Amino acid sequence: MIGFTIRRLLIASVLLLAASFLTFMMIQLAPGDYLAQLRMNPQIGDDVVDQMSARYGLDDPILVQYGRWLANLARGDMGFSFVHERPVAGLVWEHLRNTIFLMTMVILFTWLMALPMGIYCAIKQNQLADRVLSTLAFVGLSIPNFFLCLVVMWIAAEIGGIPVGGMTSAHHEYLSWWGRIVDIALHMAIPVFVIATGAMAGLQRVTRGNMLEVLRHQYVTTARARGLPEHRVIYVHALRNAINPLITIFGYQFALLVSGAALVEIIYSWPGMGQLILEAVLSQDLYLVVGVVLGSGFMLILGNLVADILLGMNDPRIKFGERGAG
Amino acid sequence: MSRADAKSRGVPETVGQSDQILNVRNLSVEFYQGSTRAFHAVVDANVSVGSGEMVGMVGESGCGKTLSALALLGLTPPAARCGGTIEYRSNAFQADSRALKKLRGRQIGMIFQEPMTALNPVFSLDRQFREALRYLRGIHDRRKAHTVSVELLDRVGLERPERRLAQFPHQLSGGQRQRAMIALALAGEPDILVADEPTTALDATLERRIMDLFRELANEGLGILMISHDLPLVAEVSDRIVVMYSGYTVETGPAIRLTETPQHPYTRGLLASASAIFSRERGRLPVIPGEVPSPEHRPSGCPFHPRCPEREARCDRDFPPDFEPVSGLRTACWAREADG
Repeated sequence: MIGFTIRRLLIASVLLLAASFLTFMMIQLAPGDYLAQLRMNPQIGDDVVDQMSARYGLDDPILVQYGRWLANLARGDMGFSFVHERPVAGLVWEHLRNTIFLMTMVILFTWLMALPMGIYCAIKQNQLADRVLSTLAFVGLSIPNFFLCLVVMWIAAEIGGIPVGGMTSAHHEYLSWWGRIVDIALHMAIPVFVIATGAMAGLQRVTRGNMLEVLRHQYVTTARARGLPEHRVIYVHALRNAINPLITIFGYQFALLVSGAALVEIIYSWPGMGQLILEAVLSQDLYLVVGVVLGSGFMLILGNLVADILLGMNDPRIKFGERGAG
Repeated sequence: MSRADAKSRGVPETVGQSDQILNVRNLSVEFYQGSTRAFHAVVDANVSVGSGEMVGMVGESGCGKTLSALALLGLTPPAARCGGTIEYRSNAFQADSRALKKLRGRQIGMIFQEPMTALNPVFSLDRQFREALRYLRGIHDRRKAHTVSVELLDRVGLERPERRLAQFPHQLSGGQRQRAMIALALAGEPDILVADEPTTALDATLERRIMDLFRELANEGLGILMISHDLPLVAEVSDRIVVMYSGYTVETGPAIRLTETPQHPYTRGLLASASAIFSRERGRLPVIPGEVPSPEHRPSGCPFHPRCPEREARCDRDFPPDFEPVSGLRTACWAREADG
């Protein structure tokens, strides 16, 4: 499995390189660059802009620029953000951290709610409880996140007490250690709820479907016939088999939520990757865009890798990296 | 084991009701769609199994064998409703009673047709055995559980049990899996083992060896109810045979008597088509014309009458009671009324 992980990481780094190259090219091919705005500003002289252009190396051919960026990347330097006037690495890390923070809560919330609901629906298939929960799931699945965002925001504003924007309050710095945690948790409540509604609904449906399929398997009947208690049959024998496809979903979800959360992040001004990438692209902040793409790509690959490793741990029939074994 | 061996076992002519451990009377399974009855899959099945006795339950596909077996342990699907009584030793259960669950594993073990899918693929054998021993025998100690598991696997003739225990189901061959399944079904020390077509998915040589294993287990005192569509095969190793047709028990009796002097036209047909395969004469195999009716379209009276060569006028009106045309055989056929 270690060999498998290393190989996967190697392939991933090649993919990330390719992604960075494409991003680099696309930003360059788009008309104008960050300095174009400055050039149009009558208060800034052309010589100043030319100086900046030379300093940032924007005069060189694209490939040279890319080569220089790569060389710097090898030393851990992801370049400099024009807009924020800070190194990209620190900037990306800060926002990535906030997004991961949000996503972890969303995933925890989603799984803790959706799994039991899905299992329950499968056991009570076509009974009242199943129908009610399934209807709710479809409603949750059908409401677009951005719309739900606005509705919840309005409700929260009417009720009051729950912050609807940002990650921290203005007085965050003056709070105690415990107060800061509560502050962030309060700010997180609404974004987590909104993102989780959609994700939960889908996961609940898939859990229900998988459980229904697995419950029809012979080994479930055999486990019952053997005299094992029903909870053992459902939660151990059936669930362990139903969970495989869910783990794959987990991998996608991990990556999907990073991008899917962007909209919610922007609406609730959560200082995460979504906000960062929007700003970066709009202002053609070259190195920041590439940095953000690298960060998101890394999350995608990490999510899939974790999912694959979990799959191997869950199902003994999956063998890593052995040719011809399956 | 050849038929000659079977004869020399000295199977008793009639088995007294007193030593029967399991007695199934008038078992029926009906399927409902909403509140209306969709069909009657098992109408009237009667079977009993004694200690150390091997009983073969035989019939074509779709005649209700498997459902009868599932009903024994309350494992029928939710849409099914069961009737009749199931007597286990001194306890009598209604067939739809939840209390039947108590029989699972410790009193009646059950194994199924597909060894490929009947073991949980994600758990090692060791884990599945440990689980069964913990819940059925209260063995919590790992080392004790391991010893008992090895004994169980040894008993069913699985070679190198220590090694097998560490493996997962997909690492075993079909025959090994079926042996492991049997061992697992025996983990709760049941006195009855119900085997639903246990060898259908195996090749012929394996089939014979597994059948011999069942015979050995019966000789050690286990009561076995063997469900199969292969009358000659089951007759060789069984003490008694129960022939099912379209949800009814149509003939019951000692295996040798039933195969040598079958009385029910359906049993005769089954045996004729089987024995012709082994005869030297070439030509078309004798077949029973028609096929088993689906439970939705079961003919009135005796359900076999449309296919029956000895059909009488009353056959499509009433299902016949049991007659005893030959000592030891119980045959539900109007044509045998005069003999019985």
